Amino acid sequence: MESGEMKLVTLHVNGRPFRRAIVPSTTLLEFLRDEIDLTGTKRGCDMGECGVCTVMLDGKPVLSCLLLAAEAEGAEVTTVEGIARGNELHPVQEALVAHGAIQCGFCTPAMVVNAVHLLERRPAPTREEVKECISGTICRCTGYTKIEKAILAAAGGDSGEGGKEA
Amino acid sequence: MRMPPFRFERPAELRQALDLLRELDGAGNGYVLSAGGTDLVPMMKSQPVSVGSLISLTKLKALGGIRLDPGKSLSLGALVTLGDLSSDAAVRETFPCIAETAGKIATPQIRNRATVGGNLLVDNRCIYFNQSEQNRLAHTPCFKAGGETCHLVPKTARGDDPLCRARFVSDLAPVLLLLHATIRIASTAGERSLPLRDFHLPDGISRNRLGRGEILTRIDVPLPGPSAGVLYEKLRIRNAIDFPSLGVAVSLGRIPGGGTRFGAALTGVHTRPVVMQVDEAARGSREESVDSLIAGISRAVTPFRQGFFPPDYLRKMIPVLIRRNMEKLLRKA
Repeated sequence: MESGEMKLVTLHVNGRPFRRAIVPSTTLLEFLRDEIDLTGTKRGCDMGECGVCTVMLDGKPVLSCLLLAAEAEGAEVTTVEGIARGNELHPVQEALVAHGAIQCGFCTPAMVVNAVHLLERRPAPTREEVKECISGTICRCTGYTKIEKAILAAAGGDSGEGGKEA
Repeated sequence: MRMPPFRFERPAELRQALDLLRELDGAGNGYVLSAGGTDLVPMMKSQPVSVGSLISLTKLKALGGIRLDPGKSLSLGALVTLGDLSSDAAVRETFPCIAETAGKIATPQIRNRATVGGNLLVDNRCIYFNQSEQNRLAHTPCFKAGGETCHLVPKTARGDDPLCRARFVSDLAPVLLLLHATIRIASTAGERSLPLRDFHLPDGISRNRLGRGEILTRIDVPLPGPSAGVLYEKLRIRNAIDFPSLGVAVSLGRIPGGGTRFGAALTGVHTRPVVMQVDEAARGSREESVDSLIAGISRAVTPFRQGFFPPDYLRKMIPVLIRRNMEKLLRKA
């Protein structure tokens, strides 16, 4: 134990309460992955640069590596595990698969969370809005183009380039 | 990456928070204040020393909200997130430049936590300081890291001012300076307010006049601003994430009694933000006014090699960005 002082917190994640004793320096990312085994949210740089740890806090995307778990008390946390309905994928997830917008998959949970938030706010986003939405999340495989196409397709089938996507 | 242990406190009222700070100061115990935490948490992860207590300000309602007092001022709570600032209708209506600038900071996810107060207080950056532990081991510790050297200006000695040349990187500061913003600071002794232009210090370690036991509560922007407004342009490699390598704000307004006032403010290229205004009446022609503004403000900054852009390039970009944006304002005026 790195500190004698533990703190009891209750966090609401994907609609369920989780009560755990943690050291106060525990980040939300550490809480999700290490305390409640929700490992869909990824740990990348852990310094707020790469964006792969993105989750929603009260419906807005935030970096869970920069947020103390204790600060999330009283808020609703949504992770990638809370996006699909059972076995039914969200249209954003379907589109990412269909467009081959996933290679190593490490940024995908964050891309999903960002895109779901965008489409909740802007059901028919422009390509620029899609780019802005994913601008805080680094993908080292795809070059982003397929991710942009997938999100635009999930919004209504237009890939933003005049043609229909398969 | 684990942070060193700390005590966590999240007071519910400003008074409670201030009393807590006084108590900790009285007992000689260390603490840090945390709002969005987006600057603080990476710093704590990369530094091996414990901060003592972390005092979260996030429940303090006195530090929240955007209040428009028509014809008088726009008051921004220090805890307003950059995301809310960039989309707020009252801000977009009164000072679109504040909203646009907020939208250029960091990334969408960071803007949903990072605050306007935090942006004015953001730690200064240096390529020798803001590094991984492994990288820092390759250098002797600098003054900012508690050591006895400066890698940018090796002849610096303790007692010099500035001791540290780490650069100021707030994007909002230059804009708020040209809008003549004042800030409010609370302590157990009461509330004081001071012009933002008197707040920042020319040293990368001491950085500003926020004292122990004090909390930045609000930023007030007087109405109306400069008649033709303010524009901000940010030079950086990526259109997201990056701090400004150079940030230039310009303003154009009328002087009471006739004539035009040209303003400029810079960030990213000095230890503190630098602001300057020139009145056309005092300078003859418009061209001479802008020339004198550029010459004056360029003399006031000292860019160092801090990444991709060499200092000579940054110096050359100062007049480019000032003229480009001043022309846009002149076309609008």
